[in-house]
Amino acid sequence: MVTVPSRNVAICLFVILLCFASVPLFGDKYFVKLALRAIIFSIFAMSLDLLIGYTGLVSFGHAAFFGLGAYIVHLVSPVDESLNLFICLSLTLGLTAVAASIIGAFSVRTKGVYFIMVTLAFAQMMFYFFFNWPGAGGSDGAFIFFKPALKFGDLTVIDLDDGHTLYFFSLFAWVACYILLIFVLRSPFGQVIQGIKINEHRMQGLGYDTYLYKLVSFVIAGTIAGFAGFLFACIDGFVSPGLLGWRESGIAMVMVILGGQGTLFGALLGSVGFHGMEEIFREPAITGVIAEHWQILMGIFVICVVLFLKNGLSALITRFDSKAGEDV
Amino acid sequence: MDASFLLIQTLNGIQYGLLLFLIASGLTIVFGIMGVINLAHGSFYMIGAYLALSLSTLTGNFFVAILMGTLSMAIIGLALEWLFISHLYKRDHLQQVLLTFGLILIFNEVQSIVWGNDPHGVEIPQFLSGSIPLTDTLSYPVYRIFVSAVCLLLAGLMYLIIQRTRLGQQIRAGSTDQEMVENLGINLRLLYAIVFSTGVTLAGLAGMIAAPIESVYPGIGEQVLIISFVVVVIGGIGSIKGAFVGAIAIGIADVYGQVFFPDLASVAVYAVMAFVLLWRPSGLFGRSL
Amino acid sequence: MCNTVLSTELVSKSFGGLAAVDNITLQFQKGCVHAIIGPNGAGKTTFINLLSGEQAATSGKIIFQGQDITYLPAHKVSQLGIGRSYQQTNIFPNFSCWKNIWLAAQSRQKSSMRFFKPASNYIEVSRSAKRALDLSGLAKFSEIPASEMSYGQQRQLEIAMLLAMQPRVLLLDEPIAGMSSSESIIVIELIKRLARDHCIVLIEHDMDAVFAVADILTVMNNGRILATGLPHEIKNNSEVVNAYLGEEGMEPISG
Repeated sequence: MVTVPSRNVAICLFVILLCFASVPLFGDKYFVKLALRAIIFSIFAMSLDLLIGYTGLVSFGHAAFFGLGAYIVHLVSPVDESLNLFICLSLTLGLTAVAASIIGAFSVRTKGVYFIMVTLAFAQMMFYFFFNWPGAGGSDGAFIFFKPALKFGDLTVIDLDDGHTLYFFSLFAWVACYILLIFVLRSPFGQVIQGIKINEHRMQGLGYDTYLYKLVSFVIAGTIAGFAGFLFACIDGFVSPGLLGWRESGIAMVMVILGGQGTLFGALLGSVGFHGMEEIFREPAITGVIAEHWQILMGIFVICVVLFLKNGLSALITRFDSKAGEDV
Repeated sequence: MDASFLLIQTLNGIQYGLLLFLIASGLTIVFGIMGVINLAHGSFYMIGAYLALSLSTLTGNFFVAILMGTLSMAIIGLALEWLFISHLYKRDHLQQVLLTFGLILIFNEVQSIVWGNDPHGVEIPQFLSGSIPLTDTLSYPVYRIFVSAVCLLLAGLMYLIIQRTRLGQQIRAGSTDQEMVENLGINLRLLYAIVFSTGVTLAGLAGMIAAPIESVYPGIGEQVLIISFVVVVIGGIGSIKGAFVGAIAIGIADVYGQVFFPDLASVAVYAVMAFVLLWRPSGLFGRSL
Repeated sequence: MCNTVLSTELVSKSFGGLAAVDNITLQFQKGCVHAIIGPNGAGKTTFINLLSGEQAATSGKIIFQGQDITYLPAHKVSQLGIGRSYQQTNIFPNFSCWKNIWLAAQSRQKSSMRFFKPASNYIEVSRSAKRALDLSGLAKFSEIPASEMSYGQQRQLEIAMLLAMQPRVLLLDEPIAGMSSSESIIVIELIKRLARDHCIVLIEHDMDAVFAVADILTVMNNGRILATGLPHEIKNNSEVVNAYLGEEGMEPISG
């Protein structure tokens, strides 16, 4: 159970982040956007890893909070000017946290398969809510005309409408979330949820109110997913009910497994791997006639990952770690 | 809003619930006995609906189409069990979810390649197309009664098989105590294959007989899957009785919801689930975890 | 010396009409080792589960220091100061021996809802974990993953975790079953030492160990109390000898 990145991981992360930071310097618009999506989805997947890889809660409805975060940006943004970045961000995080507490309070009562199905069902409930609600654009989705920005009078400090600003803001957000989660996992709280993952019954016997710890973990993960949704909404300034759908939840799960669960940084590898494969599958020059039906290839890819890649891509890095792990 | 209108809505709710039961029973029994959570279950409903579409145009006879379709579904079920599902026994739920998620992606694309993305309708066979008058102004379609009757018949058949036969005995043993089945020296591979294939066939059959009522379009399987999950969660995973009660409850809640709170209808069934979970976290007839 | 800490009044637990624990009334005192013996299936472990809150009694009352704890959930019972060890090893196999004990020690903090300071910086937790580690004689295994420890060491780890919880009442469910004789000597000595200022409820099949440490004995059979008394009284109780001790020739196995 590694909670502090080993030196190898740190070096790898540094190199990967450096690569990401240099993308806007020479990448074309399409590629920059692709890299941006990979970063944002990585934040989303990382928050799911807190649940799956560290708390042992296999949530299949995590996109509910991702999509909700995106929708809140749409709902709180005025149509004729941009909203203050901090206000918008606080509202997004606050409201997704509230939603995660409510959904979590119900779901965390259940275990195992029930939990998988219940989280899925709640996410689907949110999906239909936004799908049927004309006030949020209904099934067509809705636009955010002015993205959040930070302005002092005429001076614009941060404007997420600007592609490069959003890109580096997201990259910074990734690092911030990663460091935050590392801290959380090293803390007593982090130790407790990891104990719950391994043996919840014993944790109760030790006197921990495991329900409460699982709930808090669920809320932290949901809030970070909401943050990822916030960033995602700023890419195109467009939100649609599909963002809350179970397909997005499934994709986040695939990324966690592809990268290696219980590693945090694996989410980045998983997201990059997933987006990379998607680009390859959709490219007619590579996959020919199947490119139009590329999801078949994605399905096969997902099945292969499950059957053959047990510890995920991150194992490629951590296998070189010296065996001695840190401990509390 | 008079009594006969309510009666019709109740009948619709029960009919929808019975259909849900056909789908959910397969889902719950596959989990109860094989310990496999199968997301691709909704896809079998979709495949069934599309098979009804193609086969009834091909043969010109809806019943021949259903017969052929049922047979194909059974074969598809056996093949899938052998190819994919058999790798999932004893794996953790996460892997099961992801592998069957991958299967859905494949099934959806196959559907789009073979049948395209336009919605289709399937015609109700001639002699079932009438309506039975209830009052001067209201009547109830015969085909819906037919659907309910088929579902009830199958539910009864399932009950008899589970209660009265040796296979049923093994299924009962399997859904309460997995170890016991292993110790009884039952041919597990065969039992699993039969159970899985039956689940696939039931879901496919539900899709086939529902096809004339609902239009056939991409994505029907997914909607059905989620509702079936709700049914299974309410009833208690692994419990066929629970699936029956849950399905009828959800069927009625959904239909009533659409009548009385059209804006919140899609949320109504989840509200029912939330309340059941508050009350009993392992469903109505589930073993506590 | 003996003041009652924990007591039960007509506690029962039935599973579908079958009474696993049947109207048990007992007092457990501080400074005493109260051993509960009886054949397999007598309901001893179920009784412990009721005391620890892991199962809810069907009827009756459990009182801990004047407080009714009959329906408290396990974690609250544990927080009050009733700790237990398990018949089947119940540890965190992926964690190191030290981390297992550390988690137990951490549980005595007011709250573990602390998110930023690294867990290793909580000196008082580490100190209490260290004490439990030393007391249980596991110091040299501290860095080894629990899954790689021998069975006997894992049983010792159970006890170390229990100690780290600093409970007032210790519920020990066959603590020395499966231990080597040298390991069990350590544990028996430890129990004797703890008995001075703790209330100990002990389930054990090893009669030598039981008679070596027990101050009071209760014999259970079919969920009921057959007899309660001082060790020499139990030894000479003909009913008990017939029902249970008489079969001593065939040493009852765990269960």
